[in-house]
Amino acid sequence: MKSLSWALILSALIIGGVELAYRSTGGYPSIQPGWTATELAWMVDRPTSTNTIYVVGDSRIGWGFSPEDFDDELKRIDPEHRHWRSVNAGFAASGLTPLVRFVVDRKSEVPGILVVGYSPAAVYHFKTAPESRSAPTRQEFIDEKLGMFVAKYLYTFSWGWRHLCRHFTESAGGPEKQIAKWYNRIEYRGGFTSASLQWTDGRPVNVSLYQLTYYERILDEIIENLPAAESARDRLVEVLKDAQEKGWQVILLRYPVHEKMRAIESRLSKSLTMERIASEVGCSALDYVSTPRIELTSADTSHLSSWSARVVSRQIADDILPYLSPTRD
Amino acid sequence: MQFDSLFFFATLSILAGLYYPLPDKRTTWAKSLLLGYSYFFYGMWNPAFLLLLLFSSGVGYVTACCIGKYPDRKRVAIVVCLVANLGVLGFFKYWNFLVRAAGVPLQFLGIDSDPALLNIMLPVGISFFTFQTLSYAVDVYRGELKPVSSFLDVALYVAFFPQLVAGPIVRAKHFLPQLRERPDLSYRKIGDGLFWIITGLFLKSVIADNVGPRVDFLFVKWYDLSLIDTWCSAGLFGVQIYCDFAGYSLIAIGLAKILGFSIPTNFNAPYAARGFSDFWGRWHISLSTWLRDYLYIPLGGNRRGTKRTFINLMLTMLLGGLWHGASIMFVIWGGAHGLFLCTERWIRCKLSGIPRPLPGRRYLGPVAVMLTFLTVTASWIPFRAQSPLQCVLMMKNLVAGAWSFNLAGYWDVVVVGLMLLFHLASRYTDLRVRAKESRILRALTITACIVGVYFFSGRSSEFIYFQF
Repeated sequence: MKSLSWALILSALIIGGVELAYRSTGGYPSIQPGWTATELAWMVDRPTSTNTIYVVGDSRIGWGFSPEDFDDELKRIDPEHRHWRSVNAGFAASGLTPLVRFVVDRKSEVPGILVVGYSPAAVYHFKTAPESRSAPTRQEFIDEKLGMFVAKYLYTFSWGWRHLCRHFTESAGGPEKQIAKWYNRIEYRGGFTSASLQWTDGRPVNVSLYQLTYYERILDEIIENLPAAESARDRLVEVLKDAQEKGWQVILLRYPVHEKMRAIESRLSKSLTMERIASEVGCSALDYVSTPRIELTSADTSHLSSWSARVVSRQIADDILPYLSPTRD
Repeated sequence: MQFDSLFFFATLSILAGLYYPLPDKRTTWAKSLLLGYSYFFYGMWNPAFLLLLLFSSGVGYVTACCIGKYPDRKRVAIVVCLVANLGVLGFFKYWNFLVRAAGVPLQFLGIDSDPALLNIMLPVGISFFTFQTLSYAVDVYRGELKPVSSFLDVALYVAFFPQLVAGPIVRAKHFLPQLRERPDLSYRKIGDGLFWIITGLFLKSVIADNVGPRVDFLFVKWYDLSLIDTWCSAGLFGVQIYCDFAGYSLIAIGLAKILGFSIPTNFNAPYAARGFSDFWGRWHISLSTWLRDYLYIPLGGNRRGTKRTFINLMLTMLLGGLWHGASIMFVIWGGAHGLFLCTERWIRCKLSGIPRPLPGRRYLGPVAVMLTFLTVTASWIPFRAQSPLQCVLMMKNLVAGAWSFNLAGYWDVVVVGLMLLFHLASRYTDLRVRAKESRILRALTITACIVGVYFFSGRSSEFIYFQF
């Protein structure tokens, strides 16, 4: 037991020393600013009924849609719809086309309703997607959550030695470059997340300015390369039509954003708008950008604050009700 | 539940918090706590399969009670127990294999058969807990063990979580008496247990999980492998499967120890074995001794002449191979080991006639170790290959492939070499005793393992033996 105690002290000193060195050279935690791929797969896999609404999209959905509030509101306004359940299938920085495919493929036997959260970046810019994987076990799901929790406090946790070596080599090579990274993932009770941005030297980021600059650049890229954007749009239309053929009901949704962000996104060509996609797919669309129905607060001009996420989720429930039958089974 | 996970250790600490304060660790309450946790542990995969576990325990318990009560009808009771347990195992594990196998001769005859394949999931650890139940019933049948009156004891023996899903296969006569004895839960024992847990985690997370992706890569690109690559891929798989399974066994032994139980060692430097019978005395010891005691010896063992001994050896190893999974590849692997054992036995018979001392005797040991290691390594190919074609072509590459590194690298050779050296060192020096003797060595080993697990863990994957 004595040797074990000494070993524990020694290990803590080594791990603590590396942690300290990592932090002081601009290291950052290995957290995801939203659901991880395992969490997303788990949540998408859970429902077994066709009375399920999968709200898919990038972090605007991940941070801004509260399934609990949506389900409550649906039940409140019409008890006949009490069987309906919603899933927040928002995946940060995810391309919409692969994400829709991911959900449709996993639920091929029980198609439900796809509420597709349109955003120019998700359709025309983001490329990442959750990797296709077998159904996660309950343990993997809980482990992922615990891992995310630990990673908030131990920055070196789960990065692996390759990342650490690269980091120390780079930081030894010269003055470190300041970059904004995600530091603190928060999981809200309603079933959605958020995270906070920070510069790697510890200074707080002016998130509004950061997001506006970031999206300005993305929009510039999309506008400069219109043919590529149009082919991305066609791919999404194709995937949505395919989903419809497989029995899915598709509804497009554009999440509310701050007016400055709205101004940036309004530069988008008419051929790339949500309305154009909706008309090509032949589905309904709910637009909270052009016609904001409610007063909302934005966390960083792109994502909603947690309070607004709850409000807008209830509003979506009110607006989506006409499209739902009491049951699809 | 997987051992190498935060969730497992979080729930284990809750169990420890409830278990350690109990003044008597062998009361019904303490045993119920362990059983409850074991069922929770197993139910995390699929709660429905808890019924199977209960069924298996129930059949074992009732059989033993019947044998105790009606000794003149014990043959009927044991047959019912064997049919029930092996029936469940056969249904879940071998149904599709048998149906497909039955279809092959029909296809040869030109008869179109539509095999009734089942879309069923294999319950984790079914082979392990079935063998444990059978060991209890058979030991009672043979009169080596008295039937236990408490169902709780039998259920805990079958479901005890450290060894539930991937062994070691614990014998009833070894485990059940421990449920009546006061456990040794001294700091020293708990320290020992934690030492084994940390070492096991190191083997699994740092070595097996890092070698795994490399093995996957080499076995996917098998058609591009040269002679050296093929040897490397087989050797690396040998490293992976050893670290994965021995790691699991060490964690299981450590967990049992910190709860005041002792379960047997499952591995003892197998790659340093001098011959195949020595190998099977060092590799998956709990399975090989189970097969020896409940299959090989009842078949007649080596008591009925050379020819019958060979038949018994082949049968035991073929069934041992099939135990690993419903696939022709495991049968081939088992058959190969059966052949190795028969050949070794035959050579030993021939050598026994030669007057001693044998010429060059001192070189025989190292030569035997190397030959055994190379043959065992080669035999991992049928174990890991996805198809008979892949197996045959890779085996061909072992002798007739190009003499170059195509896909493998020097590091692969180093990893395999280090594993062999470690086993050789373990054979000639008891590293456990060394570690026990020197506190500094022990502390440094544990530190290296903890730091290794923290910084150098590979991507977590399921323990290989869970599928068996």
